[in-house]
Amino acid sequence: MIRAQSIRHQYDVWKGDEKFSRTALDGADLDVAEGEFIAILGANGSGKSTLAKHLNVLLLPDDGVVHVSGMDTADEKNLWEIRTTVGMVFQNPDNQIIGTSVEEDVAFGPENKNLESRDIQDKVTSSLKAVGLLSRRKSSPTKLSGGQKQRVAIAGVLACDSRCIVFDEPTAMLDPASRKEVLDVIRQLHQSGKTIILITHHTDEVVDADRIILMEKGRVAASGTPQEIFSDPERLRAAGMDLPPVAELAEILKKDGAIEHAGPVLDSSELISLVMQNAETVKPEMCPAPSNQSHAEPKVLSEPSTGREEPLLEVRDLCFTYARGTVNETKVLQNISFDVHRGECIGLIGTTGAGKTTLARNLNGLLKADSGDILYKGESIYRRGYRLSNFRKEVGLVFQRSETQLFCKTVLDDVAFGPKKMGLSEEEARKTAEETLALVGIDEEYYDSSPMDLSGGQKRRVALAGVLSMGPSVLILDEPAAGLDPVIKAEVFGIINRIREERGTAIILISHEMEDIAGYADKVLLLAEGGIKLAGSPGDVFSDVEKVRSYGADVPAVTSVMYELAECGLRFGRLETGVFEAAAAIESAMGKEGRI
Amino acid sequence: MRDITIGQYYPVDSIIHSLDPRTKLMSVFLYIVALFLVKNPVWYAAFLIIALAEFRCARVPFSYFLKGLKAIIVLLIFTFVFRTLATPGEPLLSFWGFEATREGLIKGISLTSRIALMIVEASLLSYTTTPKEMSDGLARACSPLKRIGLPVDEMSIMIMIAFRFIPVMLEEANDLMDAQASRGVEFENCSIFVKMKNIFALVMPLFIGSIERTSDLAMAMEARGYSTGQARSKMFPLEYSSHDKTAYIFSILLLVLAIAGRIE
Repeated sequence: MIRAQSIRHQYDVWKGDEKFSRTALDGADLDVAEGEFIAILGANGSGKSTLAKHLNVLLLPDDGVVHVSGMDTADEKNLWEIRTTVGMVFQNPDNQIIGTSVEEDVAFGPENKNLESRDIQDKVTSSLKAVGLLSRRKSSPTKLSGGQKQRVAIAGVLACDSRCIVFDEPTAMLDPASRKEVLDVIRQLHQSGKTIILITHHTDEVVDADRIILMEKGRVAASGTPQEIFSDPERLRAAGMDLPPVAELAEILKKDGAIEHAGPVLDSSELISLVMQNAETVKPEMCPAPSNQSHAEPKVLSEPSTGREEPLLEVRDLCFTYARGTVNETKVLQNISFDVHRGECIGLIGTTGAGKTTLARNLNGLLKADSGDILYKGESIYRRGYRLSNFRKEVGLVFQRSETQLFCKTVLDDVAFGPKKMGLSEEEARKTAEETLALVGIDEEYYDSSPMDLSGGQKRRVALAGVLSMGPSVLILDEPAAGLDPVIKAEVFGIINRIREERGTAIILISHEMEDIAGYADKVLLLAEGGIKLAGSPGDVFSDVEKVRSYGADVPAVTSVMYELAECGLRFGRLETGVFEAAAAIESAMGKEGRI
Repeated sequence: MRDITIGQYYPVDSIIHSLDPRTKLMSVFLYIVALFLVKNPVWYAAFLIIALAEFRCARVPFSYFLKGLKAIIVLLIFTFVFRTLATPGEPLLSFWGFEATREGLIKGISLTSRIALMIVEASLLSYTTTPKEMSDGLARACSPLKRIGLPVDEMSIMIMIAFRFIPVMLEEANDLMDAQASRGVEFENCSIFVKMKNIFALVMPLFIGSIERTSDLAMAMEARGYSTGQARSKMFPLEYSSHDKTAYIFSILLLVLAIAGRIE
């Protein structure tokens, strides 16, 4: 249905006053059959979005040809026919909804086609039904969640009767619940016969695809079924991608000979049945008895400091009500209490709307609690005459999508902004900024660039540096890795670990990615309905799988696998959150202890 | 800024909600014209009663009636005081060198009532008409202007997009202010000049954000088959019903009465 042959695409970038030409696509090929589900996988900047925009004539190739249902996209008279055939859903939910109500937005496409009013109404109704939003048809888009907005966008494409839908990173800005919502709709559309092209850097989203196209540096690096693509982890890593956690766990188990299977294992239920088949030989008495002892290591980093030292930040019975005294009054936080010690990393989890962001804004004094207290180094920040602006530089807050909040002319100015506000001289501020930029790994050549000319990952690091340059002793990070590919994400977390170790900065990490929380936090707080429902080490909190899930949060994928194995009868001392620990535990429970 | 009522649609079904937006726009226009025609302050009581009756018909709670006024309370007080004191005439009382006059009091009352009633009527329009209906109505009402080359349809799309993104931009501005406040910028405990300067610093990132948004949005619109100058149909085309006729008759009657009141 779609055939793209060796397409090249270049675009101009400005660096200072000089113009450069960058190649986004360098001879990419793509063949899509009617009804197929294709996933295009690749790191940030691999050209996958540029490729997608060629499929419905938002871009034209500099070289090569694109045919959609036999029509050449370069021929202007095919334009509307092609755009009707191939619809597109974009990444940012807010920037693609035009209507001020759900149904108005869905009607936008059919209205452009100048259809009869009756037809438009029918199409709007059936499209909204297909994405499950018919009851919200009169709602304003501002009142919808991210996942709902993306479903509105999908309905808008459905109403145009497109046979093929291109999804350009539709889940990059969504939380896990919304992500699942959107992916479910995509799967249903595929079953109903639509051709689907899904662009993403989340490897766990593509396992259901018929075929995966792996993009690297503007070219197709590999193409094949998920089984084929995931059987070559080295190839994937070279393209900046990683294996989904379940597949990685299966790889380790295979390597250690605990299970045998020809291809990669992509599905958790498949892995579970494999483990259970191989574990049948094990006699029950060989299983280690469950022990209630909590784990001794591995998070050594903060252990020595906790308990002895006075906490940096003490939160006591904090309550916060939004829009107090109006019809919209909502209790967002209720009786929140916890301590933050030097050098520790606290993971804050919970569904969207559980109050995580509000808590973060209370912690650095941007919002003032109704009752309760916050003590910084033993002193109440609500005391009369307390210098809140001083306090804010001690408790730094890096916002969600912080790259959109850079505002100075040059990178260096932006990072030096905070120190200058703190009263440092021009000279000192500059020095501090340079040190911080070196810490986050931004080269000197970028110091005088405009922040707008940097790549997404660089911008994120500059924004981080802007807060770090004020030398905070507590750093709150709100979704620092959202929308980043695995390589850039690892870099960001590398920086976070470094400042923890080198400066003893305490970290409060807000994230929807349970793997990140399990991997980096010493302590996890689960926030739900405005209160802390679970608190403890990641191992302890995530072991309580049912409880975590009952609050709408989730556990790391490997923990979920272990939990289900335990349901099947394998006995573990505790549920692990790391891939290697989980592999070791599963092997020992299977009676195949030893090699790790 | 939270008191801005424009664009705050109040979603209930009522006779007023179901009226054609052109009817509502025209009625509000005629109401305002009539309001400025009358001279005798007793008329304002009549206009107030009409406005209250309309709110009743629209099933919009009375608190919303006041909400629209709250935003301009300072303006109203200022107008009243200024008018009362600055009009020469028969003195009522004087203090600190100012003199309130009888004529001033009457003028103050009329001007304040006019502004207040005008705002109340305009907010009722926005409570009962979605931005989409409003822009459709405007476009249809202005469609004769197409003949002299005005891009009426494009303008109506622009108005709709503006309505769509006002709340998004406000949220973005709030986030930016918070981000800057946590990097040491003061928005509260500082002089008005510093405050203005700091708010002005928000303009740049907001502007860049909107440029990015604009190009995204343009792409999304193109992808769904939009281009300028094409013929577009409507999901709910505007049609007059019998209620509209009644509403027009009432509005014209009001205007005629006001004119008659002025002549006598």
